[in-house]
Amino acid sequence: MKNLLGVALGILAAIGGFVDIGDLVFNVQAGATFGYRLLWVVPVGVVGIIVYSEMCGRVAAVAERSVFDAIRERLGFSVGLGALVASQIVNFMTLAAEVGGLAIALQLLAGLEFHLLAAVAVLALGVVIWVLPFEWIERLFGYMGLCLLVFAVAAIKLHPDWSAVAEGFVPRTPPSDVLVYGYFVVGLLGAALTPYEVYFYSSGGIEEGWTPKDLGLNRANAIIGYALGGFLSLALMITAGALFLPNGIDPELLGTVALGAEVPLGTVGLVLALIGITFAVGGAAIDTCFSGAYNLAQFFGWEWGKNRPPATAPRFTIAWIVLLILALLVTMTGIDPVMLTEYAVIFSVVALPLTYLPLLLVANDRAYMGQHTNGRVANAFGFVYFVVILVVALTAIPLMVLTNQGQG
Amino acid sequence: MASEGALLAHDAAVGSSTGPFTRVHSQALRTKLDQLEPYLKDEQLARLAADIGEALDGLPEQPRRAESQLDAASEKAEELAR
Repeated sequence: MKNLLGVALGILAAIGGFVDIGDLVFNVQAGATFGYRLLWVVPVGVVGIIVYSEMCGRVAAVAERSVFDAIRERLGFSVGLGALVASQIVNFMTLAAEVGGLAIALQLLAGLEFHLLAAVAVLALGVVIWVLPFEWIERLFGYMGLCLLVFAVAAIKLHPDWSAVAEGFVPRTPPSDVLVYGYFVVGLLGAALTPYEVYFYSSGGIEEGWTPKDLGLNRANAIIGYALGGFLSLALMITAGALFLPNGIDPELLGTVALGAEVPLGTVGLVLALIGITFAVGGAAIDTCFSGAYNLAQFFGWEWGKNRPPATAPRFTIAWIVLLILALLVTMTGIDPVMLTEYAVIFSVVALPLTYLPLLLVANDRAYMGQHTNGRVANAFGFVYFVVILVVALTAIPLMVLTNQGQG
Repeated sequence: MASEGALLAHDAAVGSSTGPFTRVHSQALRTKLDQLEPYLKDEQLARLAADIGEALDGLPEQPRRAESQLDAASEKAEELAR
C-alpha cells in the first residue's frame, strides 16, 4: 500500500510537473509547426528527466540531501547563491505562468472574469496547500490531471498518418527553417527537463522519509511517472500535427490546445481537456510554489516541510505564501502566460547545468552515497545528458533571439 | 486565425462546444487580431483582418454565419499568401 501511495508521487510529478503549461505550449506549437518531425525529442527529454530525478531521489533517500543542500555543499555559498538566484528567477517565472494558465483554463470552463478567477485560483491553491495533507494533494491533482489522456484519444480520432508518426521518432534534418527547428528542439528539451519538478521530487522524497530501502520505489516513480508524462506530450504533439498544421493554425493561446480535443471529440473532449489542463497546471503551480520555498529553506538552512505544522517551519510557510501572492500580482498585470512560459522554459534550460552538475558529483561521491553511488549505466547516462544540457544551455538564448521565439 | 475561428464556429454551430469556451476563446482570438492589426500595412490584409474581426465578434451569437465568413476569410488569406 505504501508503495502504491509512493507511486502517486511520481504520477503527480509527471502530470503536474512534466505536463505543465510549458509542455502544453511547446508540444502543441512544435506539432503545429513541424508536424511529427520533432516527436523524437520527447523520449530524449523523458530519459533525461528520469536520469536526473532518479539521481536526485537516490541522493535524497541515501544521503538525505535535497538539491540545494548538495549545491551549497558542493559549490560553496557564493557560487551556490548564484545558482539559487538563477533557479528562483526561473522558478518564479514558471509559477506566474502556471497561475496565469490556471486562470485562463478556469475562464474557458466557467466564462467568468479573468482577474476574479486568478484571485480565486490562488486562494484555492493556498487553501489546498494549507488544509490538505501531501498525499491528498498528490491524489487530487495527479488523478484529475489524467483527464489529459483525452488527447491520446483525440490523436487517434484525428487519424494521423501513422507511418509519418513513426518516422518522427528518427531525427532528420528539416527541409527548411533549421534555426526554428533547433529552437523547438531546445524548447521541448527544456520543457521536459524543467528543474523545479526535480527540486519538488527530491524534497518530496525527504518529506516522505525515504531511506535506501525505497530506492526501488524511487526508480519506479521516476520511470513510470515521467514516461506517462512523455506519453501525454506525444499525444499533444500528434494532435497538433494532425489538426493544426494542415489548417495553418498557429497555437498562441491556451484555448487552442483545448480545441485540439474539441474538434475530434466534441463537448466531452473539450470539457475533459479543460479539466485536465486545469489540474495539470494547478498541480504544477503547487510544485513550483513548493519548489521555490524548498530551495530557499534548504539553501539557508531554515526548518522546512509541508508535513510539519506551519508554526514549526515559519519561514518556509511564509516563503510559499509570499511566492503565491507575488505570482498573483504578476498575473494581474495581464502578462500573457503563454509568452511568459516560453521565456521561463528557455531560461530554465540556461540555468539547468548549475543544478545538474553538483547533483551528478554528489551521486558519485562515496562519502555521501556509500555503496549507492552511480553505477556504470547511470554514469554513462548522467554524463551524456550533462553534455546535452550544456549544449542546449549554450544555444537556447541565441536561438530564441535569432528565431524571434520560433516565429522565424 | 481565420481557420481557427472557423473550426470554433463550426463546433459551436453543431453544438460540439460550450458557451463559455466559445465566447472566451473567440474573444481571445479577437484580442490577438487587435494586436496584429497595427502592423498590417497592406490594404487588402487590413480589410481581411477587419472582416475576420467582425466575424469573431459575432461568433458566439451567430456561429453559422461566422463559420461561413471565417471560411471565406481563410480562403482569401491563402490566396493572398500565394
